[in-house]
Amino acid sequence: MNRGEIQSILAALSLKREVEYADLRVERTSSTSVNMSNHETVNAIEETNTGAFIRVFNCGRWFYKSLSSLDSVQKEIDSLCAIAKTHRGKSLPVFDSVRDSSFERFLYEDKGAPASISEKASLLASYDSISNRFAKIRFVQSFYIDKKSEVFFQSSRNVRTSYDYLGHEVRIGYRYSDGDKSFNDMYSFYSDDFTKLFGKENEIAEHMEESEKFLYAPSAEAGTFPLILSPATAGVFAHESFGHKSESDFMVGDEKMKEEWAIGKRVGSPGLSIIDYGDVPGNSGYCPFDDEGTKSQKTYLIKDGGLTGRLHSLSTAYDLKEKPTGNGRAINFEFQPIVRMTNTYIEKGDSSLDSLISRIDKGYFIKSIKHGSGLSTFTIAPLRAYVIEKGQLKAAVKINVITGTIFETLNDIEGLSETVELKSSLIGGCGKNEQYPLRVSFGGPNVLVKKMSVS
Amino acid sequence: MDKEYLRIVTNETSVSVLNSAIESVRNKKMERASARVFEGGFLGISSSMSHADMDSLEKKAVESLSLKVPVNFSLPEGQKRTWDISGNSVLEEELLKHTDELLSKLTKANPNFIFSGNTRTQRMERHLENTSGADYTARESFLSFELMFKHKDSVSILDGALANVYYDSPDIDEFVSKYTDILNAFEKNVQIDDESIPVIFWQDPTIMSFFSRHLNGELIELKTSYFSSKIGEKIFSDKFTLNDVNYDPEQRIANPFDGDGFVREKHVLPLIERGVVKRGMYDLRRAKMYSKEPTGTSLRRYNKSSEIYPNCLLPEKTGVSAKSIDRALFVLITSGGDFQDDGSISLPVQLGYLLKRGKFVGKTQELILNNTIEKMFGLDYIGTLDEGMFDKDFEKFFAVRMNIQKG
Repeated sequence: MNRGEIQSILAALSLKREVEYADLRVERTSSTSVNMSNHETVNAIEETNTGAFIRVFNCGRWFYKSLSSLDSVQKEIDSLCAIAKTHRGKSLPVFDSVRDSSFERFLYEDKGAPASISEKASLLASYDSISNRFAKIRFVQSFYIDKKSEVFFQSSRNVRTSYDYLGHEVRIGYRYSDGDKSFNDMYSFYSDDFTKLFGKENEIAEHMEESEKFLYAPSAEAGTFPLILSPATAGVFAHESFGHKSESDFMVGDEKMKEEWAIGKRVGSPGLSIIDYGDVPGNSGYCPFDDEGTKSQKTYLIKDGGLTGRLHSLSTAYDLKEKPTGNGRAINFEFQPIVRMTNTYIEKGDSSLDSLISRIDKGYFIKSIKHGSGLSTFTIAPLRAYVIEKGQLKAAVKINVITGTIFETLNDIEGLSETVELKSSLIGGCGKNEQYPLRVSFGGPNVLVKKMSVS
Repeated sequence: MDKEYLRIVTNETSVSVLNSAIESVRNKKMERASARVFEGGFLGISSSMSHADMDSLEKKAVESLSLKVPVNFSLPEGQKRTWDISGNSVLEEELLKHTDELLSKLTKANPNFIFSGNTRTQRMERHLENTSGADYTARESFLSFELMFKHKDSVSILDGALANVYYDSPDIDEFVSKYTDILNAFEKNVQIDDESIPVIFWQDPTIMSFFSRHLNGELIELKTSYFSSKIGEKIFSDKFTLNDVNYDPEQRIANPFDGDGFVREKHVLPLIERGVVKRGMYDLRRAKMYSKEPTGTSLRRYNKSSEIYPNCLLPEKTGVSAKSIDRALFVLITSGGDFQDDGSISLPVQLGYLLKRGKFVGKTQELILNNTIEKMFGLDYIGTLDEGMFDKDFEKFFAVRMNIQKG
């Protein structure tokens, strides 16, 4: 089913069925996945799916249905509306502020003929073979993945949006071993332009060469130290430590949280700003309109250390008497939109990385990580870390985990470098409740934190 | 040409709970399917999660043979078999009624807490058929409660979780009663000062992931697993036996055929037995590659290649009961920790409880637990509990000693 056919089906539908609100989201997604295991291709697959998600709101309750075919979509809308009409509850003016609008943004339809799966497999094989130069790399798993989506939305409030998304990613995962010592590492890169995935041989080889140091690295001294977080690490920190707390569905009906997260409250160091913005093409969190038809807003969660905003869907914006921000997102047509991040990043400062390092007498540089998570405290499991001694980057070390209390750490930020890097990915993503993985990106500059716990 | 068809059908009704009230009701029926064809040493594959008929999937799979993806194994032979652990599961129509009752009783018993999350009924059927005679169907169904809780005075977005899975009608009173004990204890802060206190884990995924990763047969063969040089050696306690279980109706485990359609002889496969590392796990591809027996541990998502992965790793019970331990730290939430490849581990505990003879006494301060894999399941291994800690759970709980670092 092509774009024209989907638009014809949508044009013929009626969502006005004597309920307070109804909307429909249709997604057409094409993806490619090529996977190599120890230099042998084990999977090469292309898949195209079309599906839809219907939402009906009536008397204070949502009713949802997910469809894997558009064959009987009007019948399904009618059936769901009929069920919703039987619900007895209080009518809420959640959608009164929604105005007629129509937006279309197709960035990727005129980019020429897409590469064939053979070309993609061949590119992956060329990068996969680089590991043969390193005798101690014993195991390699390489992935190429791409995803092209077209998303069409319309509602009973005469809102229509449609846009497309395209992303490609190459990931080379490898495992160094020497006797009883082992070290897992990986290198990945992402682009919305397939031609930009070429010419990465030197980067990959340099990354693999650096990894070998960590095979023999000693464990770090545990304790509380100043740290420098790389842009990707800072991005995970921003996403996990603060971004999730800015998702306002956690605040609905919770007076304590409303008080704690009052706009204007000082939550971080002066100079610290954290932003969420979906309309940044070329990143995996690209989402110019959310899955409720709201245009993405550039939301400053923190500006100059003060709490300035939070992320909203239509419902949470109504509940908290604020404006929707375009953050109602679903991972695909199986799920309803909930409040999620898009591209989340710490704004740049004015220091160089070298000057940040020079300010530390004894501490660590966290260059890359395995994963991170955040509740009242947050934790990050570093992958590559270096000792900093007397203002200089020294030996590689292994760190199991770094932890910090969120507000203390936000207030302990003492320096930001001058360039922001965003990390995009299609392999994995953000998880919330039952919905994983959602494509997002995160990043920032290099960030100097006065103290964090290292173990 | 050999062919294989996989179809996974999921029917689900889900009720979403926000701020202790029902927010939404969702219905979905999803069908995921794939076709694989094997010819001349090559594999062709196609897949779909929209409506797709097998003829068109097979046609696409044949076309993809031109990509020359090598395959070294033949499709396993089999026969027509069905495994059904559906039981008398709750009907979708009753879910709303159960959720109303659950929220009403839970909020009445625990007025200081806010609940969010979902309740769900799910029916799933997995059908795999190949041209070597295998024609397998596995069915299961369940009802689940998965709620997060937050104290009304807390400034965290969530403080913990309550969950249970039912294979017949849920006992809501028992669920509320058990979790009310835990929520009451949550309101009482206690300090753990005793660094040798036993620690009880709830089948912790970080800990189990070390075994999943390092008992991968391919890593063992390539001498890059922690266990590569330890196969046949006794490195853990006599009391520690770790099995991979692929089918056990009592414990609601239903993976009798693996991702390649291979059915192993025994449902319980010891990977570590009385402290001895017995064997690694192999799928058909790696078994052929390294001249080993396949272990029925091929995980294959409908649109992916096979990967070696355990069905369900379960430590064997050792005759220990939570009630027989005077004082213990019970770890309910640990997130963000990890192992190093040398077997050392750090686990930050976000929510831990002091347990006295199986009773929840109070919430502990945040802690970091350190140890090594060999000590945890060697000298420091107390045992795997005989009983579950919650209502009708089939999870395994094990008790060990850890180096406790105050957070």
